[in-house]
Amino acid sequence: MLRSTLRWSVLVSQALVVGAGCCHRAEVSLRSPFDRYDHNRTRRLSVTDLQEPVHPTMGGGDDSPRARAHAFETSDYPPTASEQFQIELIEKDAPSDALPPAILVPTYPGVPLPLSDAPIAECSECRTDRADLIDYLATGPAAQAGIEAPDLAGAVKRDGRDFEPVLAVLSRRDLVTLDESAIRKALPEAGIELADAVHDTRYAPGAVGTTLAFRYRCFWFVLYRYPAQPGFTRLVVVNGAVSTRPEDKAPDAPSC
Amino acid sequence: MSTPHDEIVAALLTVLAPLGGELRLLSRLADPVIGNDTDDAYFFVPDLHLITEQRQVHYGTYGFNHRQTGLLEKLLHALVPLRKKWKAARTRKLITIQLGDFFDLWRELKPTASMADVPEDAFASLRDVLYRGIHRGLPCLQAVMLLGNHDTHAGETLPEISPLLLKAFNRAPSGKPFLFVTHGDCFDWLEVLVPDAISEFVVQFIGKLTPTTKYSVGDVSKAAARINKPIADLKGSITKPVHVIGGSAVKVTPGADLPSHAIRRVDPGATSRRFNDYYSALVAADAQATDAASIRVIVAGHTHDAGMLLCTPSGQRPLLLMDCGAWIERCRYELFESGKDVEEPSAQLGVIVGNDARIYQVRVPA
Repeated sequence: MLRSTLRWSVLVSQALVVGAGCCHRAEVSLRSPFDRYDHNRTRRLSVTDLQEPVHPTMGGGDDSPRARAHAFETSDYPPTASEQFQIELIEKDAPSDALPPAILVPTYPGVPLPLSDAPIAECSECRTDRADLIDYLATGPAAQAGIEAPDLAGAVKRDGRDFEPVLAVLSRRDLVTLDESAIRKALPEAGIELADAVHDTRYAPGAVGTTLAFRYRCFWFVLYRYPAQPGFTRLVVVNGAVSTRPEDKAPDAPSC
Repeated sequence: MSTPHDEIVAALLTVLAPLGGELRLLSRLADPVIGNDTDDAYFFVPDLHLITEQRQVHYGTYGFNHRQTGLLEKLLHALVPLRKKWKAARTRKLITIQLGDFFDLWRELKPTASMADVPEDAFASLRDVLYRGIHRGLPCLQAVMLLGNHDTHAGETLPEISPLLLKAFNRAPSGKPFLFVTHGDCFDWLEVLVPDAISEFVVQFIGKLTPTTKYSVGDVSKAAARINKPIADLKGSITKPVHVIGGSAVKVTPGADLPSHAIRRVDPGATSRRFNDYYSALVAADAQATDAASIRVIVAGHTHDAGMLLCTPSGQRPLLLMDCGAWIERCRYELFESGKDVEEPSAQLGVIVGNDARIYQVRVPA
């Protein structure tokens, strides 16, 4: 009787341990623009006003849209930011605070894939897409450097080598033709943790299409196949140091 | 004509002069051995160990110096216009680096407390001018913040601090950085966690021998959680109550004639373990293919001992270790004009422009 009780106790304990391991889910959140890397930070955007001017004093006297170049920086993102793009309510009212009604910042769909190391035309100061991604990775998962590169750099040579197994896959010329299963097979065998779910609050849920996310060396790499696109054509990288709760950590994942 | 160093000194003196204060030169190396091929100015704010008023009562007067007068944030605010001016003229960047141990979370937070218990308004002006103001539309130096061993609690860092790096190199157009900055405690970790200090430090550069995540922010913070001292042991000074600084400190004003080699010359093996370990790691064969291959200057904090050690072995790689001191504990040094020793609250700042590296002591009348 005692032996069978002990045996049942051991079996139940083992079941509990296995059960705990089996319920781990790796879920990736895209987080704030500072925590995610979704564009080459050295490149500028050209912003064109495509709408007809609403205010009588706006507009230049011809019909052509007017564009201007702007490099979005950290100073464009605070709730008080209004230096670069002035936004007002058409139907004016007087709020109790001095905050602008809205600020204007871009939402990027991700870095184009396959990852390019080609020099950026007409921009000697720009880093290639690949070089800027390595620069971001080298500053580490706590840098919050998704908008602007810090004034100091991480160990870019070393991290370029350390992330090469993944960068090589992301740089493949045929990447867009590969389906999810083929990409998973191409990834390195060691050090990869696949995500069970991606929570992307940048867009409406139906806008995102298919995602494939994996963690490597403390960063989540999220590949996007947007609707009507031929394959996985965009990449967003999120720092992997999202949570230190034990239940969020995969059993063999490196700590971050 | 004003040099960038003179412009920085002038900005700091706009705060100090009305207070009857001054800058003293604790250490300087003006020599091509520094190997800086950039135009940028690097401004270093060392260990501060901030704790709130509520916690300060447990430690008497021991803590962040000049906290009541807000001296440091006034000095930093004085640099904001200079940074903007240089940026607008596209001449150079003023790059501010806080060397870690910004807050003293070991003393601030009890074991069961959470990071949310750090009040939002504690040292608000200092946090704003260093790194937080850019997110609030306030004057800000956008400092690079380094992770120090006192910057973690229960395995986490203060989320608002960004950018937060474990270590960093200057951005060199040549692709060959001359400067490596870190808090400077890596050998303390290694002493506790890993027996072979040299090879692990090489790992931090080259990442081959063990996974680099061993030295990520999360790993360092978790290690800190394991070796944090009990609260009772934190009542004494962190390193030592008074730091004796050798040499004779000249008063600094714009254009002043300053000694060019106010440093301590050392040979590898003949000085501190920390210097030896850094030197050995840098000259190791494996390090030559890494970002560290061209490093000539390491700037660190952690010890609270301000000073520079220069090693120039004949035919071999030179190295300058620049420890920028702290704004906690006290220092004792000799005044150049009188030869008299003074002892006062440590309040050190470091600056590198071109091949001219300096450590200042900020003095104000008691």
